[in-house]
Amino acid sequence: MALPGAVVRLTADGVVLSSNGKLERALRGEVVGQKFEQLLDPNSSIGKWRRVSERAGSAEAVRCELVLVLGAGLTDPIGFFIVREAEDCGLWVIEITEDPRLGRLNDEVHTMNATLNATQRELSKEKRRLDRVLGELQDRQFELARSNRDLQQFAHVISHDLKAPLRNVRSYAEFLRQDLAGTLPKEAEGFLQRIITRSSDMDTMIDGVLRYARAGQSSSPTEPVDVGALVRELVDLHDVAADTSIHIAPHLPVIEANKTQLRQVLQNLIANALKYGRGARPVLEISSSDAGEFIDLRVADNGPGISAEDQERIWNLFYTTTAIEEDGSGSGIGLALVKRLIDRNGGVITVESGEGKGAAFTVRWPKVPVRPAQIQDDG
Amino acid sequence: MDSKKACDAYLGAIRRGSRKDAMEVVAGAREAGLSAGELYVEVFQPALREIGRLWQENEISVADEHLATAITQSAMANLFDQLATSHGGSPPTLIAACADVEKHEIGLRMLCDLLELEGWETIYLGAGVDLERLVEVVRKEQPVAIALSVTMAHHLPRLKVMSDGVRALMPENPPVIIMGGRALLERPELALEYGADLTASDARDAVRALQARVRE
Repeated sequence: MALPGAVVRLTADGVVLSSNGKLERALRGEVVGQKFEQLLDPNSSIGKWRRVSERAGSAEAVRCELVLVLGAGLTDPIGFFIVREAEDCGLWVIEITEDPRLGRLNDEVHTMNATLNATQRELSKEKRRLDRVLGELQDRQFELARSNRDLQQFAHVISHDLKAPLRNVRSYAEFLRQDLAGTLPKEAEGFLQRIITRSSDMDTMIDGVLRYARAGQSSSPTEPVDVGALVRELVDLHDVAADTSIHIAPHLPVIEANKTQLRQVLQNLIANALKYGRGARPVLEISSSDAGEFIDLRVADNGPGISAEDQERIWNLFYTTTAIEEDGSGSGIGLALVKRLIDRNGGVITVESGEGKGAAFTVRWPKVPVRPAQIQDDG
Repeated sequence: MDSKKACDAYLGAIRRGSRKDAMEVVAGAREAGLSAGELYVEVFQPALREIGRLWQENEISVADEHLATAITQSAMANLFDQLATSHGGSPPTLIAACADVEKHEIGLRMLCDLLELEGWETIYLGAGVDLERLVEVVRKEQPVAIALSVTMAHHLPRLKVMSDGVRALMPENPPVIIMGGRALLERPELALEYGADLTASDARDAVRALQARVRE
């Protein structure tokens, strides 16, 4: 029979009587003479075949899908029409052939559906992960804000509570020196003088702690700052020795910044450079260069320089290589404060130096002001 | 709505091929307080087994069955989306593969989802995975457990090949191998013959067994 699919004729006992050859080809073996159910998958299809074939009548063909044994494996389910020739007679089993593209379409849809579901799961997981990370970040930010507040509070309390007894120590030492002037052994007078000096140093250091803790806390808005004008103003504040050579680059930029904080940074660096500029001809050079999203501001001197070892430590609070002076300089606050201010503004400070080679500090300041929340803070 | 009622309603929806009705049943069951585990094991699984039975009864066609499965896969992915949480840390990892060559993978998918909801990391390889690929993933991920499922009885011997292959790769500290699937449902003791450490009758059972083993 010239049908596209398999057609087999069975006896009333279900034995294959004849076949159009298609089933042999599909199953790669003989079928005529075998019981039809022996060709079927015992797990899924023999029971089904028995139930359906018993019910099959001659009036109307029954549709049925069956899985056949193919070598060591199984076929996909194949659809058949089953129809009885006449009462108590054999059966015709006729394959319902489909456009093979439908099968491929089904496979495609299945694959797409599986991919879609897998992608949805991955997205769900990623979404949850991001939620968790965001939550952790928020917790951390909250902790940071609190520890910052605590630190300020602490610094404030320490400063005030330490300063009062310190003032007493200094006053009593001064009373002693005045009252006992000329009666004390020289060594004891020296001790008294040291008490006075050291308590004065300590007073300066406490002020420094307070300044450090408050550094960068100001919420004042940013404004365009003419760096050239600011630098000239800061240099003019100093009593510069006549032989000092000061070079300020001609085209320093105008940048959007918190002016008070930038001023504090440059003031410290310029003061340091003027202080350490040495010899017969001290030199101070201030210049700038573009660094993409940042501006590099460079403050250089020709002083004694900073050893590689010290370059690691100069940013630490109270780290100092000299004695504290009347104006508070040398207290080890300045560079720690500068670094903290720059960090808080999303910038970076670096130093190039070597012993006897002068020092050049480069402040990398963002062109676009960075919001405090974007800055990683070490508390 | 209890899980029996939900299952009946869900079966009706997937028999009609109505994705919308199926999703409504799931939403209703969630509102009534059914957990993901209950939905998977007491609603989806019996409904799909009933679909399989209906095919054997010649009541429905393979196309109906595929449609019901596809709807259920979407329902599971939606549920997962609603329920997924992120646990952080370094969770235990499970690799899941079907021993079958054909695509019978929904039970294994259920196991992976339920484990993920318990904080596991799962890597789902699905069906048609050969030993070489499985070994490659196991070597890379060093999982604490491997789940192998088998639906068709004639694929049972592949379980042995896969479990032997994995153990040969990690002889010192082999992963726990759990086996399940329809082909083992009536004779779960076969799983041990094919090399399993654990076996389970459904996804929820498997989660319990794996959790207990990992906590040991």
